[in-house]
Amino acid sequence: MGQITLQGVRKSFGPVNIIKDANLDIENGSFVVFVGPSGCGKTTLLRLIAGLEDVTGGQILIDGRNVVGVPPAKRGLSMVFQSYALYPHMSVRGNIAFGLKMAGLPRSDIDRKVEAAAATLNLTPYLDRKPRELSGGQRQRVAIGRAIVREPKAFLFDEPLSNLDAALRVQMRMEVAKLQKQLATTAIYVTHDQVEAMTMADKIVVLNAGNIEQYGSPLELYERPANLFVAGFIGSPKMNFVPGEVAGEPSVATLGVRPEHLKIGKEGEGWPGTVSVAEHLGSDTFLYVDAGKLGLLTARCIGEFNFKAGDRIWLSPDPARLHRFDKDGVVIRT
Amino acid sequence: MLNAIREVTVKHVLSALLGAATLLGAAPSVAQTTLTIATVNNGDMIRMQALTNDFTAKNPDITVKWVTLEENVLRQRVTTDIATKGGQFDVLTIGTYEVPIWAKKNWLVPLDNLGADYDAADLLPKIRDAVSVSGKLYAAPFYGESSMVMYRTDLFQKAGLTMPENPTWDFVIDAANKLTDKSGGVYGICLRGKAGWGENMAFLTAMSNSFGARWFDEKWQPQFDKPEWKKTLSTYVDLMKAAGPPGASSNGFNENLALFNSGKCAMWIDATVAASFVTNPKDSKVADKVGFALAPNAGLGKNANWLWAWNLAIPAGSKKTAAAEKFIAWATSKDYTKLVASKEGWANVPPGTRTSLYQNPEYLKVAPFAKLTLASIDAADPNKPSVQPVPYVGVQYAAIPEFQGIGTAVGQQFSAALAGSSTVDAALAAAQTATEREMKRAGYIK
Amino acid sequence: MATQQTQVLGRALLTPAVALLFIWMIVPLAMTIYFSTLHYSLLDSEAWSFVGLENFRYFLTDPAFLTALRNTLVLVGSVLAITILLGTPLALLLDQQVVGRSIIRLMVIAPFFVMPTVSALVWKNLLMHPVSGLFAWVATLVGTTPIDWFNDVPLFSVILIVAWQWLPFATLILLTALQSQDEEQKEAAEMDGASALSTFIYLTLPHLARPITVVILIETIFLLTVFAEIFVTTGGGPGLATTNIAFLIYTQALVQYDVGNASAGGLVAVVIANIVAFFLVRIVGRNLEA
Ligand SMILES: Nc1ncnc2c1ncn2[C@@H]1O[C@H](COP(=O)(O)OP(=O)(O)OP(=O)(O)O)[C@@H](O)[C@H]1O
Ligand SMILES: [Mg+2]
Repeated sequence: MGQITLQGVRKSFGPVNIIKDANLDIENGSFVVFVGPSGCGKTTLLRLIAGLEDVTGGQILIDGRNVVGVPPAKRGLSMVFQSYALYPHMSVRGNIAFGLKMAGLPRSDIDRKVEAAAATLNLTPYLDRKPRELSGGQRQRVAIGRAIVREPKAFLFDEPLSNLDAALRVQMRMEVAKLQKQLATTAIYVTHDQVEAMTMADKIVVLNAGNIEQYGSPLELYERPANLFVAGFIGSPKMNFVPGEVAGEPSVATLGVRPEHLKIGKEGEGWPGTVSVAEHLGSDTFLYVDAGKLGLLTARCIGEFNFKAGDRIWLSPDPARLHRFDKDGVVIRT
Repeated sequence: MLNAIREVTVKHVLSALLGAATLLGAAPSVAQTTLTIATVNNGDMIRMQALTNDFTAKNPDITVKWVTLEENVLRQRVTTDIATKGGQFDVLTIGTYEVPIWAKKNWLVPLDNLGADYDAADLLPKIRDAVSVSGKLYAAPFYGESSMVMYRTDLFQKAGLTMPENPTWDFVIDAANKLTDKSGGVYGICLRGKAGWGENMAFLTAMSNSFGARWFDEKWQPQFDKPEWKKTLSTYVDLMKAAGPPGASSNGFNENLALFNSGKCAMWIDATVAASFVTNPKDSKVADKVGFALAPNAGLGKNANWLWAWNLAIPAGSKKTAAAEKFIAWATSKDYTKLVASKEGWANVPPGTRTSLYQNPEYLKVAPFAKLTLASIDAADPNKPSVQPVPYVGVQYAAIPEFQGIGTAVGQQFSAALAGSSTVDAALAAAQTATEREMKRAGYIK
Repeated sequence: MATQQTQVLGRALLTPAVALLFIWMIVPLAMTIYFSTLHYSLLDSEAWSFVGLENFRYFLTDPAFLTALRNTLVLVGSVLAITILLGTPLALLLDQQVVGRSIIRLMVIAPFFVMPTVSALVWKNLLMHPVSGLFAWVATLVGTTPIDWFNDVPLFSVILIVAWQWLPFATLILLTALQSQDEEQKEAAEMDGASALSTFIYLTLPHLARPITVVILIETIFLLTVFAEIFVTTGGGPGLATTNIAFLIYTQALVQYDVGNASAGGLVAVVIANIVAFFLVRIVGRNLEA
């Protein structure tokens, strides 16, 4: 089991409020990703759940039990740190076994579990090496091995892949996701990489300046962002925002349209503009268009289009995919 | 070492600095001779530095540069310099221990030209002997001392005892035992116990003289296996065990001074210079209750007192001998004594070098211990320290280069006997072995 | 790590400096070895002669030599043990967030800046003296007989003084090491359910292995030559109780400017220092890094 509930969790360091009233319900077995810009409080929230920081207010429930005041080890969670935090003087085996040893398990049990975890993570050949003799990806796997061997109620990952190169990151991303599904253990995963968030998560928590902006599945966030922040944060390239007045909808403060929902129209159809940069990716073409009063728009067109800087074009937004926001940036649902 | 470490007060340092400043101010006009003077950092020497401008005023062609060092460092620097003919210094401050050794090696310039009014005949004869070799003066004494008994007149009176001017060991031992009140924190006698050639060995060698012992016979054979030494050491150990303070085996001059000043010792036998400290009400709780007597004897015609002086000498090879002699004559003259007296009072003049000082009523007025200091100095004979004939000079040391090492090693053995970690016999045997070993190596004996 | 080319270049550039350093080291050593074979005293500089290994024989057969060697080892070993065993908890304490930490730190470090002679004098006369010392005063207050430190336990007394002087050094090095310990590792251990003690044993101690080795090496170098504290307090006595090799060299040779014998003694001391350091580092290395 591993159901985690936050109720009105607050955290401040001295006079600064870092987490302001976080409420969250994480279902057992789900993979939840915390995203948000740097410094928004992702790590802090994770550490509050882990018990490495004390909450200033509110409750954290794990499987219905309030764990505020319970020491980290007693919460039944394991954590994978961004720096891996492997024990440098212990072998891989020692690292993975440490938690079990501290729990006082018999030698034979420890060995069995360590071997099993190592096998799952392809670490068997490295069991007797010291961390400094491993590659980055291998270290990452040891850190994960250390987390899974204790069979926790939930895994907590703090940007575990940020130290890896792009290719390895993609590979590890899949491995972590696969492993989580296989173990069916709740996972909370912190990242500021929204691709990671979109691909791995069952549900995403978007954090901004200590507030939970939206909590929902990746598609939900993509299709129905609750506010300007989420709309701008999720999706790449970023959603285009144009003032409602200029776009002919004076009742709306801001109109949002994703680059992939801007089509190249015939002359005179939609919003006119001048191509300032055209990026040809083969599969797609990104056009950065100077649309006068509407500002700079980004359009993503499937396939190859033979535009170059200075060409004059018309962009027409998909009317079904327009997002409307009021003057507070909250979405207007119709 | 033997000389007490005189407090270098802020005042002294300040006046030294002022003196130095005046020096800098005096712009040289004639061809200048610069004298570099190595000296020890005791009060008398610091005072001399402050008065240097009196000398330079009289000798405008001479400037003076001081190198002031702590005693052990001074000894090391000066010895190394003279032995390697370094020529760093023009005037040296050396002890009576060094003078005969260095003079025999021709490392020192005989002081023949100290001037008409130097009045060498006024020097205390025993002090002059200590710095002369074959009748020639090799260093000019600046300050001299012996050792004597300092005792508490109040305690003696209370116990109905009268300290004779020239006490015997029997009397001292008896009085010490009677005056000891361990529960009251009063110990009959405080003596040096800390190992070292200038620490316990200075006292014990002087004491052994009074018991007729000697370091070496005429053939340089060590004498620790002789009954006189056994008598000396066992008397010392028994006395200290019965009437000495705890921790005696690591007590030196300063520790005993502190004990005596705080009223813990009924008697203390140590440097005569201590007399001015124990009678100074600023430092001593018992300042007005101190009497003085000669160091004890055993009826053999020798008292257990030592003889020491700090002296100024000129290293052979100095090219500024004439200027150096002028300086030495100035610093050790009667006029210098008067100069100090006029500036700092008679209590602060360097003692122990001249007969005339002990005839000066003004000095006698401020120094109640003067008479016994003089008597003590007179009672020590560096050329005939013991009852038995010896091949060396020196009262509380034998003036041979090897003595510092041997003295320290023997001192360690004797401190063990005092501490109780060794017996008197074992300590004497070990001392004999160690000394024989070193004397063989040095080629004195086969 | 470096490519062959950069290695060659690096060596070429370093050669003059290393050569200079080598000469700077080797000349005094060679002179010491040369002097150690001479009968040569500064006070008798005319009469010098070649005596082969006589100086070594004389020094090593000194009846005090074995005792001095034993005292040296006891002194070094005890001070090392005290400074490390006390320095580690002290460093742990100073690593905590406590009020007035900077002042406490300054106080802990202070003894290191006191001259050895001064601290020896203070300990001897103000603290340990059986009549006028502070300890004696406390002892009489609580109604026990004051300990006669330098008489009854002279070597231990010297050890105490020297350990007091070196404790700040050990504490400081260990504290620096503690502060460089990775915070996340400790948190990982916390998550793994390790108690404070387990964290200390399994993480902190191995982390301190290298700084402890450094402390041992540096202290050993200085502790082998402890002199001022002995000279000031006991003069090597009573008997040979506080005579170490350095003090023996002093009484045997230095005090009488016997260059030949002092050089021989010095070389013996160098050999002893190397042996001691070699073993200490191996022992520490094996126990902590394994
Ligand atoms: N111990 C602390 N004391 C004071 N402020 C802290 C502390 N820890 C974090 N903060 C502050 O809290 C805020 C949130 O920090 P946090 O580490 O949670 O950010 P994050 O979202 O994880 O950022 P990143 O993506 O850069 O890791 C930051 O502004 C940070 O400065
Ligand atoms: Mg973070």
